[in-house]
Amino acid sequence: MQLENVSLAYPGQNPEHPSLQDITLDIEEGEFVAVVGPSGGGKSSVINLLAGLVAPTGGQILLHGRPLTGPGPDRAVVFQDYSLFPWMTALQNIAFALKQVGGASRERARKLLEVVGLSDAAAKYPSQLSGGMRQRVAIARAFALGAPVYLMDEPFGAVDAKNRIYLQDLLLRLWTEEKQKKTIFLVTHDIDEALYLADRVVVFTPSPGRIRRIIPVPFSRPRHRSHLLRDETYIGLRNDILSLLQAELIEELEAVEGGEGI
Amino acid sequence: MKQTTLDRVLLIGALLLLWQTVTGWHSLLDPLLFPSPSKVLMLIWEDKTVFLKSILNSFRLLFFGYALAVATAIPLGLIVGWQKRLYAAVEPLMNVLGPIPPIVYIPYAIALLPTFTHSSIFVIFIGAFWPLFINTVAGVRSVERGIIDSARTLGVGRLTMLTRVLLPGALPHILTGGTVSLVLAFILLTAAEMIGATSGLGWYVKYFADFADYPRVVAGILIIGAVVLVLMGGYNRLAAYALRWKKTA
Repeated sequence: MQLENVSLAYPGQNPEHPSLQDITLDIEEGEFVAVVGPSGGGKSSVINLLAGLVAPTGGQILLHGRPLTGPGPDRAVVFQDYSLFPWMTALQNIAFALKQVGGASRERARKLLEVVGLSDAAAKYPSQLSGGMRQRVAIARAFALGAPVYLMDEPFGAVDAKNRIYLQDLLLRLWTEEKQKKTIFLVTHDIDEALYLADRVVVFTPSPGRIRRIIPVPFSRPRHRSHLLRDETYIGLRNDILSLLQAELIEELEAVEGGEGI
Repeated sequence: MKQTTLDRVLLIGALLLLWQTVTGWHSLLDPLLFPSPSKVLMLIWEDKTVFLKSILNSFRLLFFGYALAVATAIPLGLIVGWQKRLYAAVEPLMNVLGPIPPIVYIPYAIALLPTFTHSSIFVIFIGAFWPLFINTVAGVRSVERGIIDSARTLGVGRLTMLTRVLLPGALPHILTGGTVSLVLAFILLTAAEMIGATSGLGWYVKYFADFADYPRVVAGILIIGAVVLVLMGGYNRLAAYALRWKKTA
């Protein structure tokens, strides 16, 4: 997956502050890339572009060397919210996704629910599930598509800390268990999440949304949270990213407020 | 809950008692214009076969008119709500034609169509169509962007988008429109029957009013009330079932 000088300005948006400007990024097959940045930094726009929901206003996006034309089941998307259809039960949601890729089978849908530990919730509607359970179903649905690429837009953003850890490990488990490694592109505002999960972390800065730096994560897998938190390199990387984000914020404050209040 | 039920029964009992007092027991009011409840109940029993036949005939018209409206307004509303260009073109038309009181179509429908059955079904159809259509369009337009995006990323086809995503997404609006449509359809049904029918609930009331048989008129009105009550009760249960996914546990 390649982004070449991609820009995106929504209609009616100030052309000097597009949502995205000159994004160039190569994502390898089977790679886990995380994007961090402040909210409103255009991170979600990248997901919408890669999903094919919006077309770039400049540059191009290539998937296996071919330009992207629109949404398709070869890229599964998990949103922070709204991924599931509220009028379908957990099982129906997964079965519906399976049907779109021609693999309609109750059995397979049930198995996927079992994998995410929600066999008992099969007949429940999303409104009857907690936020964490909903995201588990959403992840199961995404994996039901069997797509080679996964796009995740703050999938654990609205989930409490305990469930977030569970979901992160679930995601890693599903990702490592697949024979043919999936490509995952995850947007988050949680630096620890990015460093724990990803092979590379892309730091975004806002208005216009730009890539500030791409940081390879050197830790071998499987990673252990407790080890990482005491690791010097980890702490260093974490501080680097934090200061990158803060520097940008400070610059912005200087520009807007004339340096007052800093 | 039990308290409410008791209160309701008491209220209805008190009203019946008051009615019986001023009409039957003391004859404070003209008995020709104000029949006592016991007399009305007796008449309902006496005319039960006529009422049954009237209800069946009325329901036949109501069913065809309403079903025709459902079968056209919902698919058209889904398409118009979904296609931005079509919506922009249709919107002014909708705003002009929608608010015309459907009763005014009755004389024209009678002139236009061969039989009373045709013209009343047509008028019921028109009356039920607009609230359903307008609400379906509004419902589609109110489906959250995120839901539609989610469907698009699954690669759903056009028909699937309409039937499995937009239709259920718009359903809360559609069912609200359906209530308005049903009430309007019933009003138009009885109005049409009072004008041109030889059977049906509206006909019953009008027919006996012409003979100044007001006890039977009151009986007819009460039956119509009961029929509407049952009809709306059934509709609301159906609607609640269709929207069971909205409830939180």
